[in-house]
Amino acid sequence: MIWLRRTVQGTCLLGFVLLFLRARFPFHPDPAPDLLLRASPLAPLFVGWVERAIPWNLWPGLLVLAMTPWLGRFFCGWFCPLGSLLDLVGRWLAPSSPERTGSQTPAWPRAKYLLLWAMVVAATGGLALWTWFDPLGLLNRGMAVVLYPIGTWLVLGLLGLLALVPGAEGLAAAGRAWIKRWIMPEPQALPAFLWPTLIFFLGVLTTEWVARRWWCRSLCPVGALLGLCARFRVWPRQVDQTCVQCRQCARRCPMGAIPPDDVTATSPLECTVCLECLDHCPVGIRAISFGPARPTGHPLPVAAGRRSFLQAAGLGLLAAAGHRLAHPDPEGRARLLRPPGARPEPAFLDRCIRCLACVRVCASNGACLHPTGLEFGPAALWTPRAIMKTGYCEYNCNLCGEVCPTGAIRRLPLPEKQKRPMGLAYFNKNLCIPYARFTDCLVCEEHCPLPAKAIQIHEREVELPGGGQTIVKFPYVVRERCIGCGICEHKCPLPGSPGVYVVAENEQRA
Amino acid sequence: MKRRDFLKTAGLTLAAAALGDRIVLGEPAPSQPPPAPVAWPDVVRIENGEPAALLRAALQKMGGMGRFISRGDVVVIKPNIGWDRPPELAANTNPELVAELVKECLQAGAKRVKIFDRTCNNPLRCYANSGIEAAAAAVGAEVSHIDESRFKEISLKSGEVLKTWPIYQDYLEADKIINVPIAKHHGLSRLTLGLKNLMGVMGGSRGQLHNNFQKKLIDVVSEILPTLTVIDAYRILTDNGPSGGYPADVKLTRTLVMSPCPVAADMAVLDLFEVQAESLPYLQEAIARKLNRVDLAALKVDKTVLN
Repeated sequence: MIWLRRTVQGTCLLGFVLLFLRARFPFHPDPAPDLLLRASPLAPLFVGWVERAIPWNLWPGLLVLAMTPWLGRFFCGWFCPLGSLLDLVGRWLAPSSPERTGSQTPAWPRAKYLLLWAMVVAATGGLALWTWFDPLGLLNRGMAVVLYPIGTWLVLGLLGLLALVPGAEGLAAAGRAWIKRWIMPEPQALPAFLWPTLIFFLGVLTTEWVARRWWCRSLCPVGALLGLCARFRVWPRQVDQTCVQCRQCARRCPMGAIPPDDVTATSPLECTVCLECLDHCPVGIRAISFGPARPTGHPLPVAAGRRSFLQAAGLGLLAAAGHRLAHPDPEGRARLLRPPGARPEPAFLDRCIRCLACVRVCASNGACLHPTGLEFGPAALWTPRAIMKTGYCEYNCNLCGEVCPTGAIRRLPLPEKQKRPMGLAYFNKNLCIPYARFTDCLVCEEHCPLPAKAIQIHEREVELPGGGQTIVKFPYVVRERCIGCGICEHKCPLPGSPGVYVVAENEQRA
Repeated sequence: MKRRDFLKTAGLTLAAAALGDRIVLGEPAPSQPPPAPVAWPDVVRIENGEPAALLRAALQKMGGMGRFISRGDVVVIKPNIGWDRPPELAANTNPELVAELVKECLQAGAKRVKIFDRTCNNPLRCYANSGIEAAAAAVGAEVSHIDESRFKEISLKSGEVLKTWPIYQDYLEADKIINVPIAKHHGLSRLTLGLKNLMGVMGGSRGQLHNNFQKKLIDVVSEILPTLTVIDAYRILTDNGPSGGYPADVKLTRTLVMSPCPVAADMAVLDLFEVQAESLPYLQEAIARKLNRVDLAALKVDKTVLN
């Protein structure tokens, strides 16, 4: 049965990667690239809780929640692509070593419940701590910001080296063409905040070095939530009379769900139905089965006591209160540009699962979206922001809203998006070439994508400082037309500070 | 024959066969064209037709593509693919015209036809939504995105402001160049036609060219003039250019201009915009620096209206 589980796991992981790669221009909405991202059961819980409404668009996650009381934590064992990736990392670290499994290694199975509880408290206070740890968002973030850019950078670099080998130029060119066609169609864009994201992502992956599925057993908030849902699961693991108490199942269980002193018992909170116990039950005995049974109580303690829960709640409150004490930095706030269609800031922060699917799809378009670091406090960490110096919002593109799994960025029809301001452009006349040097430039006006340009030309005669007159074409912004797409800032030929820049004024959220 | 002589001869022959085409210094002298039985017009202007028909008519008047393209040539066709706009908005060269040009080049014996443009918007979007990628690839052109690592700094011998500028390598290596711009309004330079369209093969920060524009543009294009200029004026953009986007700014003029002279070609479409050559500083600069290949004072223009 393990081969069946591994096939499903591989399919899910592969599907996750393929959907990730498909989220780009030209855009194909079927199947929706965010389909698997919406399967995280945390998103419906937290979005539903803070908005006091059931988010039906997250139906894949709701479905997982609904199935768990029957099947247990099947999501963790069979579906979760982060779990599958951790399995792969584990096999690579130490192929099938029983020393690295459940009951042999330390873990803090209770920690994840406390963490989940602290997250609920923090989310209520406006700090979406859960999004840092949601396994699907976390994996997608790692792929968008870390694996994808660095992976293609490495592969293209190797192909560049290969091209130096006499006779291999053709092979290298073919490789580059293939990468461009299927993997990375656009010039390499490196996202902001790459290193901290890399360290966090690799940190999660290296927990596998401590023990198999250590992350899933100790920290994962989805594991905690599903564990609670599975507490009275009706398809438990059953051990019949033929069991010879060899304890192989307890030794091999990657989740530590089988107590070595009573192998007939199973913790429904930890069991992921991975079926490894079935496989390790000695041939000829086969005492283990999974099937419907009358709901029974849990043989292992659920979690920690009341004191711990109060402490966790206190920590959550402290985090929620603490993040409000961050210095407001109004000047920086004015440069925090959200994608067009982003909901009003508090609702946006509540909904955004920090998966950065928008950043990934933007890379093959205007390439303006980047992950926010800690510069606006922990609440904005890993949310998308537009940086117009590295890119700009493509006038004919609305794909960030198309791929957003939770609707933190609304899905705007293109004509609507083209009228929706995400900011407003201002000229810095101390820098802008016509104002500062009395000579024409107008690169901004040339690129302004509005059919009736939002940057207009005011042609007038000016006195030159050294005497004499000249006619100069001065650009200016028509506030009513500007949508803050930032192509003017992006294309401004000045190095360093641009002569025209976008601020978060006039932005239309909702 | 002595062994020494044999070895010398054989070695020289082999070296010439293996390396000859690589160690030729400079451009080979162009073979003299046979004396023309008829005097071809300097400029051909065809009106009132569909893009492909306009081109065929123009080539007929010009003496056929064989006059410009030789068998085995690597040809670069340089359309305007700069903007993420459909053909109807007249921001990019007409895709049917580009496809017809590709066919004509291949029929004239071109070995390869390459098409590229350094776009202003995202290249994937521009190539797809302009319709040019699909139309040209379908008839056998090699349509590729600009690879930023393939620009080569060239020296501008007659440059007054600029002394060097990076130019796309495939453009420099081509045997023949056909520049096929669309005639459009442009905020800074008033109109963008053939000469300005060559900015699409320039690397570096092109925004830097915008101040002191006419000098800098002519500094660079002097070194990279095309074999033939074909100006697409099937639809022209009369305002809010060069990106456009407003259907009311598009005028259906169903015209095409062709000339081996890049300056004369640009001059032959000005009347569609009711613009005088004097109001285009970069055109004046080009004339002052004698970029014209024909006598502009005694221009032979062949105008034809199709029916």
